Amino acid sequence: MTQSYDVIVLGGGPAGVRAAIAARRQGLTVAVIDEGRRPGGQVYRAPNFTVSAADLDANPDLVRGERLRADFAGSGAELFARHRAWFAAPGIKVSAAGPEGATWFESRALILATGTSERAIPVPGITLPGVIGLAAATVLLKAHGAVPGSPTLVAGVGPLLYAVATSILKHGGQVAAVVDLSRPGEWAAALPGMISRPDLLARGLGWMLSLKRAGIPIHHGSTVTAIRGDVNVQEVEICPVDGNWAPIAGARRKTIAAKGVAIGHGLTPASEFARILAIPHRFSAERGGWIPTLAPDRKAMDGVYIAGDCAGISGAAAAEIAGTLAGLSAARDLGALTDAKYAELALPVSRSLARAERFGWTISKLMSLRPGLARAIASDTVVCRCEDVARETIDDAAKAGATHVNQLKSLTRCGMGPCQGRSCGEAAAEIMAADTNTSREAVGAWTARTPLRPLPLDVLLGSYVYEDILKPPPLPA
Amino acid sequence: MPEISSPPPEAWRRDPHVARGPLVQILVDGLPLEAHDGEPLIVALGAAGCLAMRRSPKAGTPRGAFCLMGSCQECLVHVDGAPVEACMELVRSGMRVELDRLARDLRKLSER
Repeated sequence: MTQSYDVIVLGGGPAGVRAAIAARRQGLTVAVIDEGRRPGGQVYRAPNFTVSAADLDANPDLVRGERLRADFAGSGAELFARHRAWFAAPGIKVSAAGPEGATWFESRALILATGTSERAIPVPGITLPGVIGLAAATVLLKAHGAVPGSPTLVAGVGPLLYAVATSILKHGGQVAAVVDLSRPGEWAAALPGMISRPDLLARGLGWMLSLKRAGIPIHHGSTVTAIRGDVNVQEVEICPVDGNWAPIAGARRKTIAAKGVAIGHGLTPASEFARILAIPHRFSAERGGWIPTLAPDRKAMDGVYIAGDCAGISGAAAAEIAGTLAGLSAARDLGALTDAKYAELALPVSRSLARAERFGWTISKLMSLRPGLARAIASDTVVCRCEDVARETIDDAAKAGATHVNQLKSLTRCGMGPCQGRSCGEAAAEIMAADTNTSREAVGAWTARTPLRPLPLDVLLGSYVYEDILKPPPLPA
Repeated sequence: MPEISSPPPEAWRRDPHVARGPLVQILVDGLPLEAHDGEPLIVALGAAGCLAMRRSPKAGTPRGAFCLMGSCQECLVHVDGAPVEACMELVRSGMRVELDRLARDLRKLSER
């Protein structure tokens, strides 16, 4: 089955929804493809339960999400929910697997708004059941209304730490401690950049204050060095870090009892689609890793536009605005908007984007990965969860001459499992850069391979009659 | 499978103030488990203290949900015979969930 639209949008988060609305408003036909059941993405994820007025009062993200969904519903753009895009080619062709099987899409423009993956640098015990990502914790709390094993230790970097810890308390759980890689001085240094969004700044300060008031210990400038337990989490060892986020040798380590852990070390752009389309990328630690190159109007190549965190971590507020800009640019290039009208509509959008990016980039910079964390990974710690590849195997590959992460993948299967390197990519690349004494630029990024998501073969094949398949004649006996 | 009324301390906990679907019964490795209709399967399992979904195929270490958004593949289970991510699948009455089937199938193959 092939569906034709003027514009295909990959991802129904803030960037994708706003892009779809902007393009649809100019009279174009638009389809949004998303894995979720409703639009919203992760930050504005639709709750899996009935929302009450009290929920809306307590959570500005929920209000924004509901507005996003209402605007989308009234836009006339179509949503292909529970559809997993796994292929895209210039031209433009996209394939997605949905509940009814495979669907091929054709369009004149493609807008990539695939968001971000969470980075989690492994420590011993991170694969224990009961240890979840920090972003996972936000999903569990706000979309599912449930708390992780309690008390929960919340560790990593960035504002999510405080959002998650506060939310655990609100939903009736206990927090063992917050372990923040950043020091108070680093948060203070980020303040000027955060002033551009006083509402978000006030919310963050409110989280910190409520944790202080609840007597939750906050360990700044520290990292988790081990999670222990036989089948479940029992205790977590933490250690102060230096300015590079390396645990300080000889510093006093502290053990904290916990039944669950939420851990995350920042966000990295999910740019697999840009990579299979061969859009050039550059490395930017401050924007989360490898980012596709694009023009200020969000155009990356003929017919392809990119918006939101998959173009570099900028946050949900900036994603919405960049999405609108991408939608307008696609409409202009498809002849639905004159250049003059485009200029008139895009100018205020670009201005507010700059303001939102100032906030987003400040947070992104605070969360950008420092080399000490991955360098400290112990040799027997599993880095690639899918294929059980430990640090020492990566070191051996580097010793054997691997200089690029793709060589590492060929030699060790690191990054070759069902998650396709989304879980281990950042840690593996950091280790390779350290082992080869080079840089993240030098060791590169995995080549993206289709299918970009695991795909049941029967979905791909669909239903067919064997006799209808073109078969070559048998070889002469 | 522990009863919902006495979950172990490491179990996830549903916020009692959140309105959920009616209780239905699902089968986890043949044993009945009460869960809310329409909630993510991972919440039903997690709230029962069933945090390990599977074993890693090579080292055989227990694994459970990590990303909760369909990316990491750690919470892969079989529902009515088909592999699904427990974090993306919703509970419906009578669904048959099998944990760690892939590893068991692999073990069976290697024993041949």
